[in-house]
Amino acid sequence: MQPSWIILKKELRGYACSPLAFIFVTIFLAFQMGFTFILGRFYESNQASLDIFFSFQPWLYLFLIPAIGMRLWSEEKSSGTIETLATLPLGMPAVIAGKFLASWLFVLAALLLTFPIVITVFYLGSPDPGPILTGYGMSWLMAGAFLAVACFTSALTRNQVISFVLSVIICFVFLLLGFGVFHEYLDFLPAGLLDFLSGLGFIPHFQQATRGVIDLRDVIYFISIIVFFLILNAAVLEGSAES
Amino acid sequence: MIQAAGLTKKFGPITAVNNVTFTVSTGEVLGFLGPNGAGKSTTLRMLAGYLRPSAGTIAIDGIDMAAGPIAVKKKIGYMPETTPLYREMTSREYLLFVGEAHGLADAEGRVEQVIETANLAAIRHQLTGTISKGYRSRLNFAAAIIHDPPVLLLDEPTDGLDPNQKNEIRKLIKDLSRNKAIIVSTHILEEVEAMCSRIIIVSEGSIVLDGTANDLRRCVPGGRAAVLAIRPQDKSAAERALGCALSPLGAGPAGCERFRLNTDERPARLSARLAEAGIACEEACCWEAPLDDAFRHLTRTTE
Ligand SMILES: Nc1ncnc2c1ncn2[C@@H]1O[C@H](COP(=O)(O)OP(=O)(O)OP(=O)(O)O)[C@@H](O)[C@H]1O
Ligand SMILES: [Mg+2]
Repeated sequence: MQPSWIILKKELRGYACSPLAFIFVTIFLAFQMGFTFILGRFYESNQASLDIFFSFQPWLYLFLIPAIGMRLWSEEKSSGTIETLATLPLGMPAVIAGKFLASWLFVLAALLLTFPIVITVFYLGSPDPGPILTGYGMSWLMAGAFLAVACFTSALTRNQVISFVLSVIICFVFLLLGFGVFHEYLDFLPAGLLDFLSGLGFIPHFQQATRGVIDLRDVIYFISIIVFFLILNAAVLEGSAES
Repeated sequence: MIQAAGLTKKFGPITAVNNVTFTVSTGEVLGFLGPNGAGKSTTLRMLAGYLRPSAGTIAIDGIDMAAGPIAVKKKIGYMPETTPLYREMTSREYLLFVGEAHGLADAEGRVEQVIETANLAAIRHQLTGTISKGYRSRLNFAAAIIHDPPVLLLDEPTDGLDPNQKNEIRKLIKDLSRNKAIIVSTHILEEVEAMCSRIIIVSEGSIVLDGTANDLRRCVPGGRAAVLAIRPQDKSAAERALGCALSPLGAGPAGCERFRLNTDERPARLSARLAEAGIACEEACCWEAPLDDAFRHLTRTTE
């Protein structure tokens, strides 16, 4: 068996047995529906599309994904099982990949459980299935980016609360970057750099897909964010073996 | 089998392990002793591949830890001092996880075997988060031996065990040592005599003794002495004949009294010399200082 598969299996079983996981899914679904129907006035909008549903998603992820990711490494550190994990012949890259994939699959499961809303729009009208599919796909990729940030901050500390707060802050910056809100304060920077920074925001890359356009650059963007933070995650763990 | 050369570990300003060099061969059980904070666990953590040494090298079965960490870790069974467990797994699931992580073909079969060996049947289906301290130790011990590794690193394996289980585990360690190189860290000195073929004592990160239990005794002044049983009235004659002072230890056999004298001479030699001087000696044997006296003597820091 592949080392990452062994870890994936162990982590997935952890989710299946964890009451927290069920609470998380319930909260996710409740907020997702609440935002869409109440705040977003889904019925009144009279659109047979999931635009409203998707537009709230990044903000929901901002708090919920760090909550999923915060325990990934912090818990191993505080319970000491990181010592077991590090002395088994698995190799840290495989362990990191296994842990990340398991939580990403868990998020996928939660995301797929929002299917009643898809049924609802199809019942109410005849929406274009393209944007729905691409929206869901990109939403999952974006969730992966949030999750990779949470993995990284979780590796930094044995305290889950600190890990949560740090990843919310980092993810919040990534959300704001997309709106160019920093432009005013950072206007001393060269324009090229400013453009690069606002290109790093999550939301513009996501919105394309909710309109039915899959741009390969957006896919590459989210995958790069994931890989970047997982490498940081590995570097942090490597660093804790040094000290 | 286990080779550590110049191992050093610094935590910021603290030097936890300082230039430690030793080798352990297959068949040996090395008792790793030292006061609290001496650096035992830190050394074992480096040997197990959890901490990276600040300096020095580790080789297991000729493979360098830095060059092939995964190949090396396959050969090691490690029992951490903190006996960590995944709380949401049952004991059996935990062992299965460790077995699969070692790539065992028949992980399930091995799990059953170690459950038997470590007497874990009672908690087989219990969540590890709820088992007692002694069982935590035994479960970690079982996990360390599940892949039948040529090297065992055990950090206080009998900590928290009841007397029966302590004996059981000691016997097991002795049995296992036939085809393994084993390092056992412990604070129980009788245990060292019972199962270790060699002792290393560390103090403040450095090795202060590498040898057998008797080598340890020899380090204290008077740590090795002889006991002679002679009639009390012969005491001064015997002192003259042997040229050293006798200190009384108490009543001996057949109206004799036991005396202790500090010497390295063999007891048989001593009784022969007494016989030459016409003094009857009922009994002559070695006197062994309690190990903890020797331990205290060696690890006494300059206070
Ligand atoms: N992660 C760490 N960061 C900083 N200092 C550490 C760390 N781990 C250990 N130390 C220090 O290193 C020294 C050696 O600790 P170690 O745990 O190896 O001792 P020990 O010999 O196992 O003691 P004990 O008998 O109490 O188990 C101690 O001074 C300890 O405070
Ligand atoms: Mg220790």
